[in-house]
Formats: sequence, C-alpha cells, structure tokens
Amino acid sequence: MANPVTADAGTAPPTEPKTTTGKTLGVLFAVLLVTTLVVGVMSWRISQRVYGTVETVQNTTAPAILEVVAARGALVKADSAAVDSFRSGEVTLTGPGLLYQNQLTLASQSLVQVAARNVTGRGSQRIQLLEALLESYSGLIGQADAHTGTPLGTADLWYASHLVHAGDSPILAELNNLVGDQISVLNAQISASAMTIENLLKWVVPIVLLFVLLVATQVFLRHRFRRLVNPPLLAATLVLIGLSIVTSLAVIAQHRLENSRDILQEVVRLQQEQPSAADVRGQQELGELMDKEDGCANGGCGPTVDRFISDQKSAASTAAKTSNKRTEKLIADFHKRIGSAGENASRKYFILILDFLIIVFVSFGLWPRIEEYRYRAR
Amino acid sequence: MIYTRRPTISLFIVVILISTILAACSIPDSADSVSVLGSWTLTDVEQQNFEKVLHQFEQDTGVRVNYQGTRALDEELASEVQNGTTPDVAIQSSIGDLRQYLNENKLYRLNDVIEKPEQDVYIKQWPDVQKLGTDSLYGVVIKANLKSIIWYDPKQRSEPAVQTWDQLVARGETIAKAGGRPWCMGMGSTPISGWPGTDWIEDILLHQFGTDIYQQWTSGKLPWTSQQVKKAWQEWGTITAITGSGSTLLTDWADAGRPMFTNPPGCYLDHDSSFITASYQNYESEKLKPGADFDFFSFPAGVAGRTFEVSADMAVMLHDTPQARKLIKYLATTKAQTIWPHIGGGAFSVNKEVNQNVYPDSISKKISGDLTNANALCFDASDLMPPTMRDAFYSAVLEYLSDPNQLDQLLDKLDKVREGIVPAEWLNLPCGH
Repeated sequence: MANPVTADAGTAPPTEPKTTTGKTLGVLFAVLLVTTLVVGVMSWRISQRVYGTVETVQNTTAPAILEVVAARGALVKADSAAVDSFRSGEVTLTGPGLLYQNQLTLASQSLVQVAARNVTGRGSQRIQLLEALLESYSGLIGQADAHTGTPLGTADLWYASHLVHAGDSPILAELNNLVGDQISVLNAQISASAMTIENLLKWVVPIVLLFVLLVATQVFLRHRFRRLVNPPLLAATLVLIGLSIVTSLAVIAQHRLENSRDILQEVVRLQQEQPSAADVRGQQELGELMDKEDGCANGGCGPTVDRFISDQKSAASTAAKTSNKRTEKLIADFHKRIGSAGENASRKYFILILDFLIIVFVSFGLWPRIEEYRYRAR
Repeated sequence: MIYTRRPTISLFIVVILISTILAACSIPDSADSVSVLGSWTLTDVEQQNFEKVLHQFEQDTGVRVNYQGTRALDEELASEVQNGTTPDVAIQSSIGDLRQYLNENKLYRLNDVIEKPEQDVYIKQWPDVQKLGTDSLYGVVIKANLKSIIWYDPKQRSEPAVQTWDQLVARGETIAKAGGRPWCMGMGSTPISGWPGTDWIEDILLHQFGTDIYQQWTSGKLPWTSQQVKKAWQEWGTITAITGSGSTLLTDWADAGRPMFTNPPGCYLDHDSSFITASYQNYESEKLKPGADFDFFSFPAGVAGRTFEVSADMAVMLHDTPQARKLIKYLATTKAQTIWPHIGGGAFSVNKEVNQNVYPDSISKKISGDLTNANALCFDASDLMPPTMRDAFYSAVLEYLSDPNQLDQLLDKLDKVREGIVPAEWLNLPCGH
C-alpha cells in the first residue's frame, strides 16, 4: 500500500513500496471520460430526437392535418353559402355566389397545401380523388344553378349536399381517410421520440453511473490524499446535475408534444362528430327549400328526405356555435402547446457544452494526481 | 472432437431455427394480403354479406383481405389507375368502365387463374360478359342481378301477371284514379343519380322493340333520336306523368319502395332490380319477409318474349399477385358462389353448379329460376355504355323528368355525345340465349 500522507507531502520515501494508486487513478479517469461521453451522446440523442419530432410536427404534420380541417370547414361553408344563395334568390343574379366560390377555392387551396406537405404514403392519391370529387360537387352546384326555380334545381342541391354531408359521403369519407392517415403518421412520429422504459434507462443509467463514479472518485481521493473535497470534481458533479436538468427539458417537451397531439385529435374528432354553425345553417336552409317542394309534403320524397327535413327543423344551432368556438379555442391551444414544446429546443446545445465542461473538470481534478504518480514511476 | 462438435452443431441448428421463425414472424402484413376495392360501403348490407365471403376466403387460404368500399367507385378507381396505385382486385358493375381499363391494358387475363372452362360453369351469356367482349377471360361475376321485374306487396293487392305494356299503364292509371300513387320511384343516388330511370327506358326499349334493336342501341349503332328510342322515353313519360317528377327527383333510390309497406300504402308498384330485396329486408321498422310481404312479376314481355335485363358485380384483377390470383380463383369456385346466395339479400350466382336449394326463400328461388330459364338475358345498357355516354344518359333522365317537353333537344344532345365516342369504346355484347 502507498503512504498517502508522504505521497501528498511530496517527500519520496527512501524505498518506493509497490503501489496501485496511479493505476487506479488512470482507470478512474478513463472510465469517467468514457461515461461522460456516453452521457453526452445519450442526452444529445434524446434531446435531438424530441426536438426533431417537435419541429416535424410543428412545421409539417400538424399544419397538414389543420389544412384538412380547414378544407373540410371551407367546403361546408361553401355548401352553406350555395344553399343560401338559392334560398334567398340571389342565385338568379349572381349564381351560387362569391362566398361559395371563395370557400370552394379555399378548400382546393388547403388540399394543395396538404399535397405540398404530403406526410402519408397515399396522400397525393387521396387528394387527387378529393379534387375529382370536388369537381363533381361543383358540377352539381352548377347544374342546380342552371335549373334554378325547378324541382331539378332543388334535387341537384340535394345530390350535391349528399356528396359533402351524408353518412356515406365520398368526400367526407376521403377527408376522414386522409386525416386518419395523417394522425397515424403523427402517432408514429411521437411514439418514436417517446420516453419509453428503454429510452429512460438509456438516459438515466449513464447519468446515475457517472454521478456514482464522481462521488466514488471523491471518496477515493479523500481516502488517499486526505483532502475534504476535490473542487474540480465537485464542479463536474454540479455540471452533471445541470446537464440532467437541461436534458429533462426534452422530456417535458415530449410531454407537451403528446398533449398537442391529443388537442389536435380532439379538433379532428370534434369536426367529424359535431356540425359547425355553417353546416347547421346550410342544412336548415336546404331543409326549408325541400320542404317547399310540392311532392315532398307528407313524406312524399321518402323517409330519408322526410327525416332530413324534420331533423333540420329541430336542429339546434346553439350547440353548433359552441362547437365552433371550442374548435377555435382548441386550435389556439394547440399552437400554444406545440410552441411551448419547442421553446427550449436551442438549449439542447447546452448539453454539448456541459458535457465538455464535465470532461474539463474531471481532467482538472484528476490529471495533476495522475501526473504526480507518473512522474514518481519514472 | 466428435463430442465437442455435437453441441456446436446443435447450437447452430437451434440458431438457424430461431432465425427462421423470427424471419417468418417479421414478414410484413402486406406480403400475404390482397386489397379489394368495391362500391359497397359500411352502410350497405351488401358489404356485410360480401365480407362473409371474404372472411371464408381468409380462413381457407390464410390470405388477409383489405376491403375498401366507396360510393365514388368510378372516380376512385380512375384516380388509382391514373396514379398507378390500383388495388389488387376491383369489383365493378360498369362493364363499360372495365372495357376502358382493358383498352388501357390495366386488366389481367384470368384464363390461367380459373381452372374450369367458363362455358362449363356459367349460364347463358355470362362467359361473354366476363370476357368483356374479347376472346379472353377478364372477370368473375360474383353477384348477378335480375332486372325487368316489378315488385308489389301481396298483402295489399294480389297482382296477376301483367301481359302487355298497355295493361301495365292501365294498372297504374286505375290506382291513380282511386287516389293512390301507383309507382314507387326515386332517382337520388349521388353521385350517379338518375340510373333508376335508365332502367325503365332500357326495359321499355328491350321489350317493345326486341333484342336486336336493344343491341344496336347498346353498341352505339342506333341513334338516340331514332323513333324506337324516342318512343321508349315517351312511354316512360306516361308512367312518370302520374307519379310526380318533383318527388321522384328528390327521393333516394333505396327509399323509393318503402311507402309500399306502409298502411295505407304510399305507392303500389316498384320497378327495381333483384338487389332491392336487401333493402326491403333491412328497413328498420318493418322486418319484411320475401313472399309474404313482397313479391314480383315480370316486365310485360312485348316482342322480346320472356327476356330479362341483368346486371352484375364483377371482380377483375389489376395486380397479378399470387394473393390476387388466389382470391379470383376462390371467388369463381362453387363454394364461394354459394355463400352469398345462401345468406340471401338479393345475391344470385350465375354458376351452374350452385345448387338452387341454397336460396333461402321462394322469391330468391323464383329469381334464380328466371336467371336460368329466361329466353334471353340482356346486359344493362347503361352499364355497357362508355362512361361518358352513361353519365350523359343519367343526366338526361333527370332533365327529362324535370321537363318532358324538352325530349327532342335531350335526344339530340345524347346523340352528339354518342357521335363523339370512338368505336373502340363501345361494347357489342349480344343478349344471351
């Protein structure tokens, strides 16, 4: 065994006993460096993955989903505007109206945006089909315009409305399929950066190990060199705690990301399950138009039309207005939440700096002792 | 050495086995699945019934089927063909559309997929239909539909078979004079509204002018402005005049027959295909029984004799994969062809080997008998026409209902569409005898 007191005093004994301290210091130094590097790499990877996902969701996936939501909303508004122009008689002067044209254009533009941010494999194909169906829809509205004032005009409106409202509406079905694909992609992206047990262990185990190693090294040095504390190693330990805090910001970001996903899914669910105010108004006006058709009195146009007319009479627009407001609030919440998820993204670079600092402090803490023993060995 | 090698060899074998099992487990799902696109959606009882056929296929072969149903089948299939992302198998009733895909080399021949020669298995003209007017087999009929029939409620009034068109018109007028609405009629069927009216015109033309005229018309040789075609429209006009165009335009096709079963009836006669029985039997409030609650008689024979219009849902192969081949081969088997007719719901097989006893009720047996014993079966004209012509036909029906006085202009417009279609797009499928 080496004599730490004499070694620390710097006065060499007349006969150098066989010692392992130098070797132990060398091993500790190497293990600390390797573990610090592992901590740095794992922490960086976790942060990089989470903030990368936040960026992808914020810039690509979520906007694509919100564009589908917007397309659906615009289409419903277009349909409502068209029906309104027929009900008010405006159609005889201006056709289905400027609002109808604008909203239909907006729906098309939203689909173009979705195509530009194509996040799903079948996205472009679905959008192409939707464009074709929108053409069928606008064709039917055009026919209704041409047949204004006749039962066929009302029938054309009814057929067109079926394309965007009925339970088995091909346009709604395709929009649902498209947004369903997008949500699946979103879920896969968020799952890839999720803090699973495996990822948690990959992150926490190296940090705990490095912490234990730093403490153990302090204890070892205290025993060998009779100093209360090695300041550079203490600094390295504090920096390690700081690095863990910076990395845990990514864990918080992931949590916020998952919250954003839930909000986005709620937006989609709400739009699919609850009609908007424009939707309710448009359908009510169509119901009024159909109710005026002579043949439809007393169920003459079949139970589907009869049920539609009576449903529209009793439809509550208050609920629809609430649903509109809730959707708007949810979208605002989503933007706020996803923004907060990415607000610490630039701090991920601190991980590299802090990891480097740990290496520096470990080197300052151990290198003089190692040098001392190396010199002594000569 | 021998003793040390044995464990090594055993270990090696175990590793290989485990690797093989893991590799087998990790094969992607799509590797043993087949995608199918059809027009039956979740709201249709047809999809539920067809899925029973597919389920049996999955159990028998282990191949998974991804079925997708859409109301906009024509648009979706056209879009997928254009993008090169077609399903493996599509089920289409429009032979005209299929012929167009065949012209574009999108369909695969099935001669080496189906084992038995088609003439041994299928009745009457079905082999020609499945060949799409060529010498090779391209489709398998999975569900045939009998048209040229008129439904009524036997509890309301007994309907002795009507022999002539005039008697049929008189029957309607009698009901109308008594204050009733004789005909159940609805044209709504987005995005193909108008097709129920085309069935009327086709039936009148076929039965009043015979199969030759009908074939000339379906193959694009007889002008719409010809006196025969014009007469068919006018005759239909006598029916619609006592029915009311506004309500007919706004009523959904599947709803049209419902008032027949109310008390008092909202209408008395429903000109519809055999597949309407699936709707009849699934009306929510009434659980209607074939024979007791609804029955049918044939469209007045006229010069065509005992002739029926028919349509079919046909499976075609758009990707030549082993799984698609298995499905097509399976759908053509007597076993598969038996499943759906056995369930009921308006499905009929044209496979001669399907035992007539599989049909669950007297009405189904009667329809199956007509499909087998008719003098001639003629394929639905609008389904045979090129898509552009078909769509114009649907629109013209709606326009005519709205304003019958514009018939001449409408027929002129239809002829202009006909003249603009290249001859290769027309199909010449003779009525089968």
